[in-house]
Amino acid sequence: MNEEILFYLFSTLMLFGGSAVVLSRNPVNAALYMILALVSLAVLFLTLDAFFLAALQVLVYAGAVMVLFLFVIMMLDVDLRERSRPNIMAAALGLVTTGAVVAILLTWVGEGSTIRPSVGSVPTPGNPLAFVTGSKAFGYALLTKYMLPIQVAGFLLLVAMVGAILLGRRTKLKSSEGKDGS
Amino acid sequence: MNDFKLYAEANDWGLLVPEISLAFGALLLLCREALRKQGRESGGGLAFLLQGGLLVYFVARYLFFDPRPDSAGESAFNGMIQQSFPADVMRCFFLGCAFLTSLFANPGLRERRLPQAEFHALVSLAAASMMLLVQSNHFLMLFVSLETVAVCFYVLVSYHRGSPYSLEAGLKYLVFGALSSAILLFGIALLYGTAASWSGGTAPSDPLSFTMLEQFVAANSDSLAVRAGTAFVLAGLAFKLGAAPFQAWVPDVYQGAPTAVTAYLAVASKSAGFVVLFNLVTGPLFGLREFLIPLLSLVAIITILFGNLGALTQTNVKRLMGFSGVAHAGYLLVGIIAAIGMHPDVPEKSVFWAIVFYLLSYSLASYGVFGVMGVLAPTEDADQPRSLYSSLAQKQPFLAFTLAVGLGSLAGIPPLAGFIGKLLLFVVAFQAELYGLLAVMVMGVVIAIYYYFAWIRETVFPPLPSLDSSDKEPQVLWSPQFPSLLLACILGLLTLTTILLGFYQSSLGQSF
Amino acid sequence: MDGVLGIEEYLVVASILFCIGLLGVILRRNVLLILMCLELMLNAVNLALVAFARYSGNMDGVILTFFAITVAAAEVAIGLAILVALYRRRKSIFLQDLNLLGR
Repeated sequence: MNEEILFYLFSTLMLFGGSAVVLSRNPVNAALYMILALVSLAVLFLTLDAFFLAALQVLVYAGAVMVLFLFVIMMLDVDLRERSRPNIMAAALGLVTTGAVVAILLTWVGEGSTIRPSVGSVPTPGNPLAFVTGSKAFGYALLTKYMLPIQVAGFLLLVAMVGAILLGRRTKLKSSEGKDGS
Repeated sequence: MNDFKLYAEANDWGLLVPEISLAFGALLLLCREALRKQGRESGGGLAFLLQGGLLVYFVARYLFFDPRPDSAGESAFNGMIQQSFPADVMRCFFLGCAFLTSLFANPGLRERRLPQAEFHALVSLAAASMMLLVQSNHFLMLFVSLETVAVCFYVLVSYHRGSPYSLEAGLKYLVFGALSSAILLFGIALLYGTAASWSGGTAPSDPLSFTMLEQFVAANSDSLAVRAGTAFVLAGLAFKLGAAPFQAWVPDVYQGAPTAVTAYLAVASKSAGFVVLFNLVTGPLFGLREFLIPLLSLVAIITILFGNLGALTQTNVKRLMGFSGVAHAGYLLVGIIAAIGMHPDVPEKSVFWAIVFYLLSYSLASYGVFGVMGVLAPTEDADQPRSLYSSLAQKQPFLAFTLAVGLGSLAGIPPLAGFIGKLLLFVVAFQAELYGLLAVMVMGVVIAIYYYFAWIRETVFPPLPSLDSSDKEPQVLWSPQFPSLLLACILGLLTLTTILLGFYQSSLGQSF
Repeated sequence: MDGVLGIEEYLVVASILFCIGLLGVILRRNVLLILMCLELMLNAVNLALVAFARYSGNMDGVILTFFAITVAAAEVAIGLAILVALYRRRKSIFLQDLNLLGR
């Protein structure tokens, strides 16, 4: 029962936050609404017993990513409000696409028969990676079965770091172009 | 815990020596750059040596001394990857692309005083992750390596960070790329969710694995969720291919990116996308063939028409290459459809080799053309009107010849490799009885001859004297530089291979 | 979890959030907000994945979510770096001002 209350409360909050991100004219407000949506999603993860992911969600998204966004908004320090209205064609196209996606998904939820609402929390011999709530299972899975992807993900983060340093570095390109080197 | 022990023991790193050495090479380049003394130039020599050496070693190892043409594919890393002879061929292909890209980019980087070591490291890492991508046999592996490729390319496309063109291209590529990866992930989630909670049979124990999904999809080919998931996955992949509905970024990004990166994007990234698409539609999604054939046919028709009609009006040659790249993706999609729709008695491997030959001829010709473009590029290399190439044949006959052979091969002119590539695709499309698509393809090829030849004509014949003499001619004083000796040798080699493959492709066919 | 709450509720919420994000990406003109809306879409998928994993008792979906969060963070870092570099050149982060290419 408690989970139900949590679910309805926080999914409403999340959808409200998401809509507010799309609708707000000021990016700072949008970023704050975004944090609301992300934290609500973390609570939804809790109702799904994914405690480790909920912690990650708060730390990585609400913590790191959104701070980065706010930092950039502050750094650019201009009037970031949109001046022009979105054009009608794009709006119509967007609404039609969205409507189609929602329609497909709702039909499918109505179809619903393939979904089996049961929970197997005990690792069975056939399925050693059954759903477990603790974070220990994460460690086992990541360092055994998913060893290769985790290494690739490490290189992905390296590339992102190198790229951000390269692109973000302030350079005086004009002066270096003027210099004639060897 | 025993299961985990078994999992850990299944990680056989020896199978991934090429990828690991590329990754460590990239780390070595980065470390050397970090420890470099202030003021000393860091050349690309180490990178060329590394990539070239690896290329020679692995081509020799995988294609000549230790080929595995008969193996059906060995699963490794707990089903994360599957190694096979076709995948080995593609791994060598990506190594070659990385080598050519590093080589072609280096003069431009030196001239613009941009950091070189990081560029070569990123190119190497992109190649390593594309090599993993074509071997991946698991949606998680596919997602992670696809995103690593994408992130490498976001940085590479915006590498000329002093140029607003390059940065704008990088931003557009990133927005489209992130959108498509969200859609791809949604598709994966739908397939995973329906497979994991399948009540009709035994749910697969690893619902993200291609091998296990294959049975599930075949049994549930009429489920709306499976079809929606498949459509989302294909839409996400379409971004990599530059095919409809995610083709809009291609001309802009090809124009804005540094020329060598454009070549890398056009050849390697697109090839990786096609091999993944081939693996998906002949593997896990094969059960949906009745649904896939009309869907992909529609996509192919839109892609071919968009590419060729868009290219007709272009005067900027980099945009022209972008549009024509979209058109080539459309032709390759016809090959993919032929692989699904082929009669069961024709082995689908033959379609695969037709696609690989097309990719090979396309890459040889594209690297030739982009190599010449890189040599001739003005400081702002996004700004390349066709008039820049006027009467190139008089000024630099070698470059003009390379360009003409490359463009002729792309257009599909008979003695060149591109013609054979197109012919093979026509044959497989004919065998699969795709007559409508064949007609669209022929139409596209005819249109393509027009715009490729307009460019060749510009290079060979001097422009007519303009009637309006007040028309300013910005490149009167422009005289093209001859490339360095190494670059010229490579360009000559590419041209020679393009011509030779037009005559002697049969021995290649027999070895496969 | 054996209560009234089924997987359908989670999927409906996830797909609505996905569509809100998609609509934002299509409608907004500010690149910062477009990046935020892309994050919303990825988060919606994460919710769907975790719900699927929870209800089918299979851990792989949760691990895929873990990787998706990693990838999203990397994408945002690069996106913001490009955005800042572009802002230094063009003094604008609106799509209608990013029109150098294709002229």
